[in-house]
Amino acid sequence: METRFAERVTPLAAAATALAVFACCVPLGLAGALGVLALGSLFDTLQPWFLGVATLLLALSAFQCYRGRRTCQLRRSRFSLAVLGLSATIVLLVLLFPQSVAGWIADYIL
Amino acid sequence: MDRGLHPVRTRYLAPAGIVVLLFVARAWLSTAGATPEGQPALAYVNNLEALKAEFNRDVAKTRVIISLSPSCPYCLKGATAIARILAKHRERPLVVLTVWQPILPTDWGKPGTGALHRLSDARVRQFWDAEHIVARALEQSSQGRELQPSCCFQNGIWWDLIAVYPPGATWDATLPEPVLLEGTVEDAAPAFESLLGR
Repeated sequence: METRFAERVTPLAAAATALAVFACCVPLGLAGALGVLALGSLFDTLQPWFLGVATLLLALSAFQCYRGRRTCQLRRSRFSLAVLGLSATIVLLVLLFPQSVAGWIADYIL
Repeated sequence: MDRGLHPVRTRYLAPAGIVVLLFVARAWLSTAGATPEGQPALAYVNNLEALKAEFNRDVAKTRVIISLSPSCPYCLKGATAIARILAKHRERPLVVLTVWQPILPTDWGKPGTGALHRLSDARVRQFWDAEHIVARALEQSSQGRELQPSCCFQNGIWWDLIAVYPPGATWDATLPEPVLLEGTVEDAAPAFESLLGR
């Protein structure tokens, strides 16, 4: 059960971390509004690591999926695979086509 | 022998493919996009002279400098907001110098066609400033002046800002005093529009 939970949370964390790269002025403004500018500067400092962390989390989730199949003889859940696939797509899109993803976020989310 | 090697080859095929894809994408991203019709091609800022000449050429017009990052969604939204304002004020004599610079970790390439086409007005000139030369000039020129932006500094670099200069102002040793200097571009867009409405 825990393995399956980790299998689903890790890729989602990878996708969220990759997308956090785009959180440029918005959280800074929000942090300023909340009076916690230190949060904003910490975010600035950590931001260059986000892509690397996202890639590592994605690799970890792929490993978890592979290990679950090999050692525990668990049947891979389709949902877990779908989450992994979707997260991998998001991370790759952010890595390879950041301007297109940013444009899409600007037009449809912000 | 071949049978033993076959699964190994297959196993490495996907990662190798991804690596190749990454290199191709990297090469593709490093090429600049095409500017909209009616605008000159994207110019590279190696020093301030070209930009300064462009700024001083149209001294009788309102000059606007916009600093943006090509993969920042909020910047792109700001660019769209400026484009909308320019479309509303088609007759207004002004020049918009849009300076794209790498700020976010995903800014590993020059602005692509999609980003450049957000500002499609013929009065816009677009630049790529990899060394943040314009951001430094903006920062230096504002030292000791009353007008200061309330936001938008990343690792000491000014970005996602709009600076508006009135007709008659010239860029000599430093940039002249702006009538508007604020970020983000999206948030400052209404102030820019009200300036144009005067």
